[in-house]
Formats: sequence, C-alpha cells, structure tokens
Amino acid sequence: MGKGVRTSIRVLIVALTLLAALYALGVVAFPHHLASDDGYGDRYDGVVVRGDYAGVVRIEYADGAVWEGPLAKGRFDGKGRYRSPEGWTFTGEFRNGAAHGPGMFELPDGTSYSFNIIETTERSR
Amino acid sequence: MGRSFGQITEAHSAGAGGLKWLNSLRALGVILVLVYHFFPSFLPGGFIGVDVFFVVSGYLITSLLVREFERSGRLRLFDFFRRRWLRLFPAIAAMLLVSLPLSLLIPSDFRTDIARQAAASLSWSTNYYEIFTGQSYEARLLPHLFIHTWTLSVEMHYYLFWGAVAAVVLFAASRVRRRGGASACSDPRAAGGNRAAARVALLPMAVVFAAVSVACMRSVAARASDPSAAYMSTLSHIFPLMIGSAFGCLYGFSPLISYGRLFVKKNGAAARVFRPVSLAAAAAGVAAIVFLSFGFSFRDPRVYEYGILAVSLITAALLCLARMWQDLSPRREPGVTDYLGLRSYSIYLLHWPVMIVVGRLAGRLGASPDASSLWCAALGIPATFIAAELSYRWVEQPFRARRGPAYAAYAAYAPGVAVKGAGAGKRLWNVIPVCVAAALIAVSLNAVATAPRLSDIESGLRYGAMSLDVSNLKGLYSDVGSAASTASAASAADGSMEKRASKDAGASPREGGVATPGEGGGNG
Repeated sequence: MGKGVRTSIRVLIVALTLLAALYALGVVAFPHHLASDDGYGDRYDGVVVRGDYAGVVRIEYADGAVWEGPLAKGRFDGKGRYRSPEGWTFTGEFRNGAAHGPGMFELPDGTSYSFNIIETTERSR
Repeated sequence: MGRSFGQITEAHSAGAGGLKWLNSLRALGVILVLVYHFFPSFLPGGFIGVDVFFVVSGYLITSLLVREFERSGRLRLFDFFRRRWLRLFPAIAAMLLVSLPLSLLIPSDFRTDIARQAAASLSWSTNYYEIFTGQSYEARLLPHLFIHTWTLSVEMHYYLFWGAVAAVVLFAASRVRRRGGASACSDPRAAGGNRAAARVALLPMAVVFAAVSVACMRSVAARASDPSAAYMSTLSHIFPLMIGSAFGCLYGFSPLISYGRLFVKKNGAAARVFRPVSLAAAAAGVAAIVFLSFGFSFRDPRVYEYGILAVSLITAALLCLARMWQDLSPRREPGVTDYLGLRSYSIYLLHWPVMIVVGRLAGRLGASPDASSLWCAALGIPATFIAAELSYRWVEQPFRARRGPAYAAYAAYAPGVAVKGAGAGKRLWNVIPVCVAAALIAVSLNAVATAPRLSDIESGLRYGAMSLDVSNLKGLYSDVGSAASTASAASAADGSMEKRASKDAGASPREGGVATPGEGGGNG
C-alpha cells in the first residue's frame, strides 16, 4: 500500500474516464439482448448493437412462420432458415433480403430441392 | 507544498486575502442562468451567465498556474490535473446520485439513453455527446437531464489543453533564461524576472487561441441553422476561458501592480477620483451584461458574431476592477453574493435536473402551462438551493478541505492522503453516509438499467424482414414448385428434379434475371 496503489488508482480513473467517454460518444457500444414485438404481431428475439440486430435473430411471425438467422438493416442476410406456416422450410443464404447462392427447400413430405440462385431482381408491383 | 497551494486556492476563491469580488461575479453568472432556465421568456439571453463563469474560471486557473510557477519554478502538471478533477468530479457524482433516483418520478422517456448521458457527464464529453446525438440546446419537450454538464466538459478540456500548454511554455521559458543568465538559485531577482517573462509568454498564446476560437464560433454558427453545435463545441466556445486566461497572466505582474497602486493608494488624489469612477464602471458593466441577457436569445446570430465576445470582455474588465478594489476596499463583499458565489457550482449542477423533475410533476398536477411554470419556479428554486447547500456542505467543501466522510471514503483508497479530524470515534458517523450513498447508488443503477435505450427508440430499431423478404421467399417457393411440376412425373429421381429445378431457377446468364417474385412459375 502506498505510492504504487495511488498511481494505479489514478491510472484506473483515467482509463475508466476514457472508456466512459468512448461509450458516451458511441465509439464503444455494448450489445444487449432484446425480445420485442414489431407492432404487427411478429416477435423478434436477438442481440442489438447500435440500433440494429446483430448475430442470429429468431423471428416468430404472427402467421406461425419462424425465421432463424442474421438480419442486416432488418432484411434477411447471411445463412438462415425460414419455416413457413404450411410446413415447408427454406435453408439458404440471403443477401439484402433475397435468397442468394446455394439454398434448399424441404417439403413436409420429405422431398427437397436445392439450387443456386445467382441473381434476383425485384419488381415493384 | 501541496497544502500551501490548497491554501492559495482557498484564499483565492473564499476571499480571505484572495480576490474578493470573484464570488459576486459567480453569483451574477448563476443568477442569469437560473432565471434563464426557470423563466426563459423573461430573460431569453440569460445563457450568457455561463460565459461569465468561463472568464472567471480562466482567470483563476491561469493565475494559479502562474503563481505556482513563480513560487516553485516549476509546474506540476499531473498534480494540477488531479486537483482540478477532485474539484469537479465529486459534485457531479453527487448530482447524478440525486438526479437519477428523482428521475424515477417522471415518465421513463426522460431517461432515454440515460446511461450514455451519465457516462458523458462523468467523462467530460457531454458537449460532444449532445452534438453528435443532434440534441438542440434549447430542446424543451424532452430535455436531456444532464445536458447542462456541457460547460464542465468545456472546462475540463480547457484544463487539459491549457495546463499542458502552460507547462510546456513555462518550462521552455525557464530553460531558456537559465541557459542565458545566472542560475535560478543564485540570483532570486533574476529568477523573478525570468518567471515574469515566462508568464508574459503565455499571454500572446492565450490571445491567439481566443482569436482562433472566436473565428471558429462565428464561422460555424453562421453556416448552421441551429447554433447548438457552435455553442457547445469546445473549440468554438473556449475563448471566454482564454480571455480570462489572458488576464490571469497579468496577475501579480509587478509593473502593472505598481501602476495600479497609483490609482488605489488610499488617500491619494487619484484614488478619490478612482473610487466613484470605478464603482460607476462596475455598475455599468453589470448593467450591460444584464441588458444583453434581456436583449439576446439563443438563435440570435448577433450572439455568436460578437455577443458572447462582448460579455467575455466586459467580465474581464469587471475582473480587473475587482483586482484593483482588492487593495482599495477593506470591506468584505456582500454576504448574499458571497453565499451565492461559493455555492454557484452546486447550484448550477443541481438546478437543471431538479427543474425538469419539478416542472414535470407540477404539470402533471394539472396546472395550466403558465401556472405550472410558476409552480416549477416556486418549488424548484428553493429545492435547488436546499440541495445545493447540502452538496456544498457535504461534498464540495470536504473535498477541498480534505475532511468529512465523503473525502474519508476517497482517502481510504488513496493512503498517504491525510484526512483531518478522522479518528476511531468518528467511524460510526461515517457509516450513515456510506449507507445513504450505497442506497443512492443502488437506486441510480436501477434507474439506468430500466431506462429505454436510444438505439431502440430514437434511431428506430429496424423491423424489416416482415413482408417483402417473406413474400420473396414464397415466390421463390412457388417458382421452384411449378418448375418441379413441369418436369416429368413425381416419380422421377430427386436428382434429376433437382438438376432441373436448379437449371430453371438458376437460369440467369442467358435470361438476365431469375427468381422474380410475384411471377409464379413464369420463369421456366
């Protein structure tokens, strides 16, 4: 106890102050788990950082469908699985909300279709 | 050495042999800010009280730096930082521990992102936090509970910056003179001159920094519709502190003192003229500041072009008068302004969250908007003063005089620091404040933990994968399904169905596009 303790406390105070400043300014962000409703009866469950879901999100839709996979800006992104209310399941990769790359449909009767999407264009109605 | 500087600090601000009228200036500043916040339509320009504080602070800090250097020949920079931190931090922590529990009385919306706001207050980054999150200084619908700590952020940035600059300049100047002439130890008079010269080297730097800062404020405020960024940013708002610093450099400067003494020699002819003239000048200065606070408003561009600069220069002139009066008048300053000035820091820290809570509660009691602002002031101002008195007595003063339970708690972790009046018999008394503090900390942490987060509300958590992506997928499914059914019978091997499905679904190179949602089976 003595000078060494004093110095290390001062270093700790400076380090904590710096960390607090970085946190306040948004440079450092702490992810937190959030389970919430989007207002349409769909339940989102995942980890949130800086206003967006990060990592794997589980969505339970009002119609009974389930999504498990990453989101980017609220769209399907990365490798995920969607199970429809009719019972078929799609597992595949997504980019910006649309299937992209290898993917597979699995029907309730056991048949499966796999394919490779190269490009998707969206049409507005 | 440390204790004697503590005494200098005390004397300087408490008025016992130090600069007496500083507290009156601080009182002026705090009154302007209080009236501005509680009665904004009455005194729309009262925010300039903050700049009165800044000039006084710049003056005080620089004169302290200069005096330390003069007496010991060196500037202990980290000791300076430590003293500044100890001066500012405990009261802010106390304010948080009071405000956070109070905020549980009002809707949780007021606590949105409070974790980051509290972190900003404790880390001197409130001004940039508020600028980056786009909060206008004048937002009144859902004001941030700790936005007023932006001034402390600017102050701490000033301490860090100016302390470092002064350390370098003073060190360099002392080295230069020592090389050139007699060593500092052998000739005290040469040493005094050398230090005075070093001090004067700081003055042009203060002026230059002030000028750069003024230019920065004018250009930023001119280009933006909301002047909050120019107002709260350190670079553009440091010039009142720099103006005070420039005058602080002159403190104790012997030629100036002898010249000034001509005016204030008590029974001299010059003094007889000087007294009423200086009184009139002081009254005019104060009146000018008050007049400006009636005439200005936050969005008035004149404030940023020359308004704040004018207030700073007037305050600096009042400081000079105060310095001259110190030799002239043996009387102490009036008790009221002394009282207000000493507690100005606590009053400033506590009035804003107290005002928000009391104002919201008063509004909730069903009072009309005009009546509720009167109720807010009638309840909030006394509440502020009571809380400020407690903060001053139990937090601020003990840390400065190095006694009391709050300081003892700090000293327990910093052995070697003496605590006055500490003894075995006092330990029981120390338990009560520890329990109170622990309770406040617990409630405050709860207030933070249950607060809505900015990221979830104000930036709009994005729920998107709802309709469009799902319908994309369903369209893809029906594409694949129909492609599979146009193939030969269901009994065909899975492998060939897969191949065909992929061919159809993936037939992009030639057709330039594939799974187009909304077109059931159209692609194949």
